[in-house]
Amino acid sequence: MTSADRAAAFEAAVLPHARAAFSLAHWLTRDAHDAEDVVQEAWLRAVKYFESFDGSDARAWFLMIVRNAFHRWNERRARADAVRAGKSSDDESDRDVAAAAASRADDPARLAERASERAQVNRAIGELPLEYREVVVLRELEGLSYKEIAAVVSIPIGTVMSRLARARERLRDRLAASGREDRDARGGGAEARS
Amino acid sequence: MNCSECRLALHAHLDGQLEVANSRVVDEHVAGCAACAEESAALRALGERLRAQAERPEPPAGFEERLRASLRAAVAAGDAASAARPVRRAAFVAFVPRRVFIPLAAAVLVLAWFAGFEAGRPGARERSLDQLVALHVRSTNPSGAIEVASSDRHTVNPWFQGRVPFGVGARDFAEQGFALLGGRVETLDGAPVAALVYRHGAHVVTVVVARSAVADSEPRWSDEAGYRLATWRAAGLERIVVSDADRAGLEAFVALLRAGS
Repeated sequence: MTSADRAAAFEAAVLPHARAAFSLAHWLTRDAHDAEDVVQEAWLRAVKYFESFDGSDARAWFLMIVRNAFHRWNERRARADAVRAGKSSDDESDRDVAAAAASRADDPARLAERASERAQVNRAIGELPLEYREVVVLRELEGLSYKEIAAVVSIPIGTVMSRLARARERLRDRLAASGREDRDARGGGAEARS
Repeated sequence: MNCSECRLALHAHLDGQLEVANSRVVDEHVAGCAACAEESAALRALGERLRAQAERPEPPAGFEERLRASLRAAVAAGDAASAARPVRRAAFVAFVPRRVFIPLAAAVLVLAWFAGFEAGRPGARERSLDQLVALHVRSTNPSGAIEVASSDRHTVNPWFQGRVPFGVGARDFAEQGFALLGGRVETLDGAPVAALVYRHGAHVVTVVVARSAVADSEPRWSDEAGYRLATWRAAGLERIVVSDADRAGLEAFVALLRAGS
């Protein structure tokens, strides 16, 4: 096979999954630029390992590489943060993007968004710990089967099931709580105006 | 089915991941149990809300075009690296349009950086020969040596899906004297690996397949505690053959595996 054939075969197999890859990377990094960096890194790795791909499920294969690229990115970033903070490594450096998302959510400029149900859903997913967030995104947004999720995350199917169950429990609790906050906020606002 | 079994199965049921017969059992329980019916409705509503309201971020403009450009650059860089012949390289440089050259050069740098980065990653480490021999000795133990027993690669390879994070590429070489008996999952240096078990005459041969992020390499042979080991890497996978069979036979087997993968 010539390199042009290989490139064409790769593009035909993997490019259709680039949007799913971007969405996953965005949900993991919570930033469009970082998400594109992660997908680019994964893309080059996938080119390199394309010959070892068994041809069965390109989406799960590529998403696995994207997820691994994200974890490498996250480790590098945590190390860089630790160096900047002048510390070797403490729990702060490991705290993932969810914490950042949570703090951004407290920003007064974002308070307006809270009214919307849609924002509540997106915030609730964004605040999930990474291990729960990734299974929810793969299942609910990308529609992967349990078997595919197991392959992407490199965990047994039983663990996929238990993580999904716990993730959904957290989402229900979080959405119920933000529904209450929302009603309280509206109630408080009405009192203040009157 | 009781309630706690139902709660466990409910997610898989609503996600369409249960076999029809099992789904029917869940449906029957839910039909007769108010608490589980409520749980089922709540989960269904949550799923509908997530799918309707969760954002699926769209990539920025030019995203796919940038991926295509880096694919072309990486493939061209791979050609440049593999074709050491000057004639070919001259033709290749002349062929590269200027607007592609800069991303191409960037991709070469990125690949070179990865190569350096990989040297410190798992898979680049030397495997412990003791561990590999211990793993092989488990293959010779009649109980529990094989989790999927089949000589059919269409049975063995799918079994590994979801158990190890790579395609195992198992094949039977019974006609060449190495009959595939089956395989199992093992843990080596903290990562899941596939152990394929073959029979060669009176000997058992274990082939360990692991993911490897480091450069391809030719087979390296070593001896440990009366066993022979051969290790090589190709296409992102490391393979290790362990057996007490004779070296000539094992060399033939290694050649078969390398030709097949």
